[in-house]
Amino acid sequence: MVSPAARLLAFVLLLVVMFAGAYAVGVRLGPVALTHSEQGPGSTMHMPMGGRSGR
Amino acid sequence: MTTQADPRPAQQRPDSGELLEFAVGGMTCASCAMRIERQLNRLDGVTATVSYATERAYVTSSGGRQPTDFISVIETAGYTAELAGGGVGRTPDDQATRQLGRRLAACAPLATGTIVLAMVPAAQFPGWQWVSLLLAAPVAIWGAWPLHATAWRGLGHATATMDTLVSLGVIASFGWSVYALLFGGAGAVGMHMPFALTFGLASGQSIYLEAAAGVTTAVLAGRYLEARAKARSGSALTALAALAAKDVHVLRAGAEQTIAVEALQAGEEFVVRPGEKVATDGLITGGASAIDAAMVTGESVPQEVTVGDEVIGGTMNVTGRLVVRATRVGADTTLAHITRLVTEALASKARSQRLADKVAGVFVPCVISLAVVTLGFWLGSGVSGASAWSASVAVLVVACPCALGLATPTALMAALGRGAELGILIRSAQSLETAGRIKALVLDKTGTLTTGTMTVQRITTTPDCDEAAALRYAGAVEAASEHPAGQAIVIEATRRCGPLPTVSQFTSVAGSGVRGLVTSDLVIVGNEGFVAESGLAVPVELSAAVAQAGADGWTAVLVGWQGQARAVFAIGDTPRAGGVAAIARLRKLGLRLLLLTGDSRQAAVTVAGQLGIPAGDVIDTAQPATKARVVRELQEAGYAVAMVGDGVNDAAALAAADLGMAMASGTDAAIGASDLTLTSADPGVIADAIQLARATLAVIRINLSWAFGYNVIAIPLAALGYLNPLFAGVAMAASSLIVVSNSLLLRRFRPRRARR
Repeated sequence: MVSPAARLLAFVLLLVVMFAGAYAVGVRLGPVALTHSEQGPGSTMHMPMGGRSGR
Repeated sequence: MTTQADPRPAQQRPDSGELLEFAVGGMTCASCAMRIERQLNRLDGVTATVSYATERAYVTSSGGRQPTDFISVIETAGYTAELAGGGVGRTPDDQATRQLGRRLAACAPLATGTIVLAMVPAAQFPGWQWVSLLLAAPVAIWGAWPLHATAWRGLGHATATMDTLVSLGVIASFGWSVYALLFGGAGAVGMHMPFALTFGLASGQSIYLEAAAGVTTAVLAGRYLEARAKARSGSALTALAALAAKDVHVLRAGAEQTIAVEALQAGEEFVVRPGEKVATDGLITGGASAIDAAMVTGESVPQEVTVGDEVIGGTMNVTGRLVVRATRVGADTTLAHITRLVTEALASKARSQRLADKVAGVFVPCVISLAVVTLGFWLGSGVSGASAWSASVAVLVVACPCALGLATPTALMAALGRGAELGILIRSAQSLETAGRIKALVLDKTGTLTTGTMTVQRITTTPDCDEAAALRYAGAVEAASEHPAGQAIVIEATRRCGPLPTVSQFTSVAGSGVRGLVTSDLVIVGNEGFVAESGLAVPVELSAAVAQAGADGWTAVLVGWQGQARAVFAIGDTPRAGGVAAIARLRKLGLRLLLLTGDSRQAAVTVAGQLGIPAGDVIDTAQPATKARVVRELQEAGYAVAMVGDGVNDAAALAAADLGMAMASGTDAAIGASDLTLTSADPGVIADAIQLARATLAVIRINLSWAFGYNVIAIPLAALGYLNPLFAGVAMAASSLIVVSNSLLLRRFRPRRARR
C-alpha cells in the first residue's frame, strides 16, 4: 500500500507537471484567449461605474 | 434514558484488566484511528482499539495506569480525549455542541455584516473594506479553526474531506483579500464593489471576504444543526455496567455480609432476595424462584429455578429467596462476555464514509489541479501575476458554495423532525445514510415483534366451568402473588370480570403454584404437577390443553377447586399489533428478513407463523454471540444489515450491524449500541424508518448534486477570469435556497403503508 506521504508527493509532482503544461498552453494560446476576452483577467474594461469586478 | 454509573471516580476503580472507554475528538479518517491505536498499544500491558465510526477508544490496561495517562497519549497524538460513559454531567458530545453553538453565535453577526457590505453597494462607505476585514478575520480564522485543524490533519494522511474543501476556500478567499487590500490596491479609501449585469473580468483588486465569512458560517450552522440533531447517545458499555449488581449478600461463616460484588470469590455462597439482581453466574444451592432472564438471554418467559439450576449474573430474581454458589466471577461471567462482544463489535464497526466526504475526496484534488492549471495558463499568456493569481484564487473560492455545507444537515434536520413524528429517533446523518442502503433485516422476537409481556393467550375449561368463573377464582388467588404468569391472569381477570373477590389463607409454593380461600372454596393455581399433588383430578381435555400450550411455546397454568382442575390458562408473549402488516411492508421493500430469538424453537416458530415469517428464516435459542455472528455472516455475504432489538443480549448484534435499531422500551445497553431508536410500539415503524432513510438519502444526493452543480457552471467562469459578482451571489443564494427547500420537502414525507 502506498504511504500517505508518497501519495501527497505524487500529487504535488502532478500539479507541477500540470502547471508547466498549462503555462506552455498559455504561451501558445494566450494571445488568442486575450484577444477573445479583450484583456484577460484583471481587465477593467466594460466594467460599470469605472470599476472592477470581484464578488 | 437513564443510566446508572459506577459512583466511584474512574481513578479509583480497579484497573487490572479493566476496560476503559474514551470519547476521541478530531479524527478525520480511519488512518487517524489507526495512529491513535498504535500510540496506545506502545504502552506496556495495554491493549487498545480505536473506532473511527463511533469516535471511541477502548483500552484494556493491566499495568496500574490511570485514565489520564491514556488521555495524555491521545492528546500528544494531536486529538482530544475524554473518559466516556460517566453517565453523569455533560457528555463530550454536549460540550462539542455548546462550543459549536458559541462559535456560530459569534460568527453569524460578523458574517452578516461582511455580506451586507459586499452585496449592498449603498452600504459601502469610505473605508468599508477595512471594516469588512475586521469583521471577517475572526470568522475566517477563529470560526473556521476546527475546519482548518481537521483539514491539516487530513493532509498528513493525504486525504481530502468536506473540511479540506471549506478550509481551502476560506484560506484562499481570505488570504487573497488580505493581499489585495495591502498590496493589490483594493485598500484604497473610496473603493466600491458594484454589481455588474454584464460579464466582467476578475481583477487583482477583487476581495472575497464575504465568501470566507459566509461559507464558514453556513458550514458552522450546518454542523450545529447536525450536532443538535444527534440524540444524546448513551453508551452501551455504561448501560451494561449498570446492569451488573453492585453489592452482594455473601454468606460467610453462616452469617450474611453485604460486600461489593468485586470482592466476591468463586465458590462462595450468596443470597438473592426477590426483586434483587443475581450478583454473578452461579449454581443454586438453596431455595426456589422464578428468574427473569429476558434482559440477558432474551427468553420471554421467566424460568422456574430450584436447587441445582444455574443462574446468570445480572438477571432478576422475581419471587423466592435463593442461595447461590458463585461459579464465575469478574471477567468470566456471561455479562462480562457480552460486554466484550459489544466492545469488539463497536471497535470493528466498518467505516461508512459520509457521502459529502466521498464526493469531496475526488472533487478537492480536481479543484486544486484546476486552480494550478488556471494560474499556469494565465501566467503563460502574459497577463500580470496579480491577475493570474486572482483567477486561480477565484476557482478555489467558488468551489466551496454555502449549499454544500447545508446539503446534508438540512436534510437530516427535516428527516429528524419527521422521524420524531413517526416515532423514529435518528442518532446521526451517517445512520440515515446507512439506513438508506440496507438490504437485510435481522429482527429480535421478544420485545420487538412481540410485546415482551406475558398475557393470557388461550383459556381451556371443563364443560362445567365457564371462563369468567375460572378467571375470577384464579385471579383472586394470583393477585396475592408476584409471579409474572400470575400477574397476566390477574390483568385478564380484572379486565373481563371487574373487581376480584378477596383471598384468605394464601400460601405460595415457589416454582409450583399458589393456593388460597376464595368465598369458602380452596382454590389451587399452578402447574400440572402442583395441582395434581394438591389432590385435584386433572381431566383429559385439560391435560391435552397443557400439552398444546407447551407445543406453542407457552406456559400452562391450571386452576381448580372442589377436587377437580377446572381450567388451563396458556400464557405467553403476544405479537405486537401491526406486526403482520409490518413484515409484509418490509418484504415489499425488498429486504431479506431473519427472526432471531433466545426462546425455544416452538415459541419462535409459533410467533413467526403468526407474523408470516417462514420457519426457515427463524433462528432460535440464539445466544448474544450467535446473534452477532448471524449479522456478520450476512455482512460477509454482501448484505448491508440492519438489526432490530431491545435486550442486552441484542447489544452486540446491534453494534455489529451496519445499522442498529433499538425499541425505546428496550434496555439502555441496546439503545446505546444502536443508531436509531424506535419510540413507537408499532413494528410498522421499522419499515417507516427504512423508507424515511431512503427518501432522505435521495434528498441528500439531489442536494449535493445541486451544490456541486453550481460549481460545474461557476468554476469554468472563474478559471476563464469571468467571475461575475451578480452571477456568483445569485447562484450561491439560489443553490442554498433550492437545497433548503428540497430538504423541507421531507417534512411532508408519508410512509407508504401496505394495503390491508
